[in-house]
Amino acid sequence: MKIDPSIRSQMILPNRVPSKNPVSKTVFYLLLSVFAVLFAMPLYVMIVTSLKSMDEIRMGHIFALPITPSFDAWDMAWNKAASGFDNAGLKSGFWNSVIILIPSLAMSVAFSSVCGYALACWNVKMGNFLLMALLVCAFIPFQVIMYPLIKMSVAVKLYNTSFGVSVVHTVLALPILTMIFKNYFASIPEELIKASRVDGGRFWGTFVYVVLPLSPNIMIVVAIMQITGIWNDFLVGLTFGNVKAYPMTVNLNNITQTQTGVRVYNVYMAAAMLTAIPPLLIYFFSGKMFIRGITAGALKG
Amino acid sequence: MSTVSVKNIDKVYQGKTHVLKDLSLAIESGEFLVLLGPSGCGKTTLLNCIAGLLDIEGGRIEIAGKDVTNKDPSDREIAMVFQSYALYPTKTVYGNMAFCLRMKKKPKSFIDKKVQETAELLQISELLHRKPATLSGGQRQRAAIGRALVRDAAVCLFDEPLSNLDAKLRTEMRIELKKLHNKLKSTFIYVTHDQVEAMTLATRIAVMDGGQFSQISTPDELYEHPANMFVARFIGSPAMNFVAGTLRLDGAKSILVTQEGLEFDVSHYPFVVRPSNGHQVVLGLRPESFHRPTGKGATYQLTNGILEPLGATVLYYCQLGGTDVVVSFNPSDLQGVKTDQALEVSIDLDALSIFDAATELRL
Repeated sequence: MKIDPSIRSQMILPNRVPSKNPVSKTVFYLLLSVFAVLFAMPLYVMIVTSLKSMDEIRMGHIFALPITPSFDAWDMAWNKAASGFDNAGLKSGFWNSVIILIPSLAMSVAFSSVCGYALACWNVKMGNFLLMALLVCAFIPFQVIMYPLIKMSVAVKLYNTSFGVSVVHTVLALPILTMIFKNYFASIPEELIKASRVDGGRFWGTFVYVVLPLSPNIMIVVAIMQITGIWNDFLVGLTFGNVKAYPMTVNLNNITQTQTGVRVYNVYMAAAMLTAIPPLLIYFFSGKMFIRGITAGALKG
Repeated sequence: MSTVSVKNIDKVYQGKTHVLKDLSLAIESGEFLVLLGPSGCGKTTLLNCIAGLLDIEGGRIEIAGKDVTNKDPSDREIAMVFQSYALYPTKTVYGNMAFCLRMKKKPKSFIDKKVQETAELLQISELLHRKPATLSGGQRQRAAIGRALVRDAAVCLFDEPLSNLDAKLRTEMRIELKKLHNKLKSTFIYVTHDQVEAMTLATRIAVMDGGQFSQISTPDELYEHPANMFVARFIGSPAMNFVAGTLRLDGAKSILVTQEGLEFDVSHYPFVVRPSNGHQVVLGLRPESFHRPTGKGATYQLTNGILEPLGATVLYYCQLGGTDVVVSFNPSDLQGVKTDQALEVSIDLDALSIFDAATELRL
């Protein structure tokens, strides 16, 4: 995000990077380029390998461009690879991931935003205690509570279902998301909430008509966090998911961990790329969705 | 019927800070009551309690004859204008004004009619489609007042609504608010720390100090007969001059003798409480109660003066006896006066106030 000049002047940052000195300018761009190349290298190798044939891969020139680029490996990975129960490639896993993602995204955002709103804008009894509890919960690793969670999900018949995976994702995300929302809503001017209360917007009216319209930015931030987090999750999907409907990441693992036959690196690379594309797209396009200066005009000029 | 009655209310923050102490106040229908006091005196807290935005720890609040002590702000038939305006930034001016009517599920045609009428009254019809961010400070102020007026509430609450405007705009809006009140005849409760705003707007002023009322009275009464030294100090600019002294009762005559030996004949002073001989008192003199000698009555010497011409009046910073005082003169009164000389003045003995030196209460 672009830094507002007035804020920039308060930050301990040189105003212009790099300086006018040609030597430091060169060094600056050189370093940046080196890091960029280092960071992009694996991605490059993945893409070129996925476009090569196995014969070409065996030649061992991993940085060389493909001689006869073909999308056969991508087709294989998407449609036919041995990915799990039905051996029909990644496409079923893709839809399983979507089916897991949508309810967990909706539930986690809905619950945590309301909790955060209540804690930030209303006088909740024992609110500070609840907040402390959330803080503690946010730092408990999933592995620690995995077994009791499995027992509980079995008891409520959610174990071994895609919806069960969604519920577990929602539960795991609630503490940290509630804190994020709480901190954001606390920055909304208190008088706006008061004005809404006088105007007859009670708890829900104030939330829906006053607070939510001010919150698209934080919603986008949370949505990005949740989409990438849930999409990239492997452990919850594997432990709680439906054996017949594993998410894409589990399918990817099944494809690449095959113990028999030839290791088809081009298919592995294509499968990994396919799995990574949705979060990548989210990152690329999310920057444009932020709205600057949303509370402008609420308070004195 | 849009009276407001506050009965013995207490507000305690977090169980320890006792902000409002057993306050009672009855506001008549159609009054323009100003809550006036220095910052931290509890005036905004009291307003928030009346609005229902803060719960009270004791007492009872009635609006339009109904007990609203435990009711939600939206059920109290009140409207409120906030210091920061608190306009909803994502809604247009129209949306801001229509919001409370929408929340009350009024029909669309009714909402439209009310908003247009109110906008016309405040001359903001051409701003209705604009967002708050594109408005100037004065326009936002009008929009905020419009949002409060649109619902025909029994009582309108104002929380220092003019304090964010520049001096010129503030004067303009002050007059408009007064006109508005005359036209609407609804009950206004208005919080400010600006005594000029209070004096010009109010039909009655409640002066607050430390969570209690120092005096509740009309502006004139507050100015002429302040009930204690706090009110005397707070109302009037420049502030009232105080001179310490002792009362000497001599038959029908009462003489106030200052520490420097100046004597004031206060035989005609309407004492509320009959003082005793030798009572330690403080004499309160308004800057306006000094005149050039008229020939009758006692005269006094003002020394070490410094002139501060303000155009319509001239302030004269000087000493009366050994006490620093400020005197306000007409410029014509001071023609030919040299500041290095003592200035002879007479004092309007009907306009003075006398306070008990120990309790600071009016005698």
